[in-house]
Amino acid sequence: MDTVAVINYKGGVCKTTLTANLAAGLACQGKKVLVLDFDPQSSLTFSFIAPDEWTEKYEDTKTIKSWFDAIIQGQQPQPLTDYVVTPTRVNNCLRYTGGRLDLVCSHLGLINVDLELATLLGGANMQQAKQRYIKVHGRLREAVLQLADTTDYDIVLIDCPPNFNIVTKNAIVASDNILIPALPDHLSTLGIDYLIRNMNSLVKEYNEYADIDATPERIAPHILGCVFTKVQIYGECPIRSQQQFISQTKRLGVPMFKEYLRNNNTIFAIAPQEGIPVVLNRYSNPTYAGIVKELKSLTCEFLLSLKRG
Amino acid sequence: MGKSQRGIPSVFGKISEAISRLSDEDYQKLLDSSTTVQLVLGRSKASSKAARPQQPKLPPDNQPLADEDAMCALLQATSRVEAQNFLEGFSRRSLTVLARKLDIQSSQRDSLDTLRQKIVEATVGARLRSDAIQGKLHEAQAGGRNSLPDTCETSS
Repeated sequence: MDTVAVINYKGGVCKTTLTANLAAGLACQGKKVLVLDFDPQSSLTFSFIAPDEWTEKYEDTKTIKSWFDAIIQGQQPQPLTDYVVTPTRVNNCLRYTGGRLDLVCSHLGLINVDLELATLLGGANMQQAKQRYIKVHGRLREAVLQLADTTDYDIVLIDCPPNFNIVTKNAIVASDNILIPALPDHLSTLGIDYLIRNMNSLVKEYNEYADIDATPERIAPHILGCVFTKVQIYGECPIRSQQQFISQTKRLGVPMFKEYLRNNNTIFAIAPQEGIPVVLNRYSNPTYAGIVKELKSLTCEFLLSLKRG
Repeated sequence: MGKSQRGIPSVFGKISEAISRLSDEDYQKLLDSSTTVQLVLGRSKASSKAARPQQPKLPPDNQPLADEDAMCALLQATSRVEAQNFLEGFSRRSLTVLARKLDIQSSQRDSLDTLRQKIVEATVGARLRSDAIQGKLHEAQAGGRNSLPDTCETSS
């Protein structure tokens, strides 16, 4: 089982769109996919489940917040499988593929979870503080390892919020791989550097502390690469003002995916309301059909990069 | 001059060219039945050029421009000043070719200084920004490092 965190410091770079379409594209190829929505905005959740259904069925007890709440209260949380839901609309589209797309929902209250988890840090002495650090930041990793042993999921995708709080750090510690969506513009590409810096710092700190207590393994999340999103194509190439940032990022040695997420406000705007990511749709319009083809190519490129990594 | 049927094919030709320059998204909007179209007339580049005073032709490029060497040198530069000085002797044509190789957006209206600045910022400037954000500049100052890449990777 591969675990991939989809993350960028910068907001609005299509993390959720990319996660939803990758997850659906992988499931369409017969994979069993689990997506974890770690963003309090709950955009990924509402890309698959209507908000009223979420309120009625899942809000109180079946979100990732409920899982973290158990930890905050000093209890052993239930296995992640207890929080999994299988969204109907998208899985209806997948019924002949052999694949499946499951979801662990998010919750707006996840904003407060960071503050509450922070109270579990610290200690009477340095040794204790380091052990608590490992415990607080490594909870999700334990749960994901349990998933790998007890379920048939091929891939877990974690949609992370645009910050580097404890919840996000849990996602990175739990992940084997990191995928970075970015807009091909100045500020978004700076966000890649911020992310790399903080990730390296987290990995170094976690591993230093893990060495003290030999039980948890050291972590080494691998950056799969950067996927450029909202790319405007003209004459089969990105427009000049975007291409310069794509080339610039490549020169800096950041691994990059060849395929892009093309900009199209029409189909990407509607898809979350229908609960079916763009990649699973069939369009007669050649432009839209071309975008679906690109998303499928991106999915294949993603799978290859997982194998290489 | 009144409208005449003789001019209509030419008019349709211009409209067809304008449509081919639309982005995919604008083309979709054009197909939408709720979209209206207005014609805004402008000068063609050829007639604009004829109307402007003729720019002096650029002298032949005396500097044998080895693109790959120039890009390598830029990517290995350790400061913006070093890169600027390197580009000082480059002609407009050389700078334009270099900018195109680096996929930098530039226009004919850019001054030589602007062209050089864009090239510097896209190469050594980008690396310095990245190193600053990743904290590598502090490490370099503390321990000393070789900031030069081992190989030059150029964009194709």
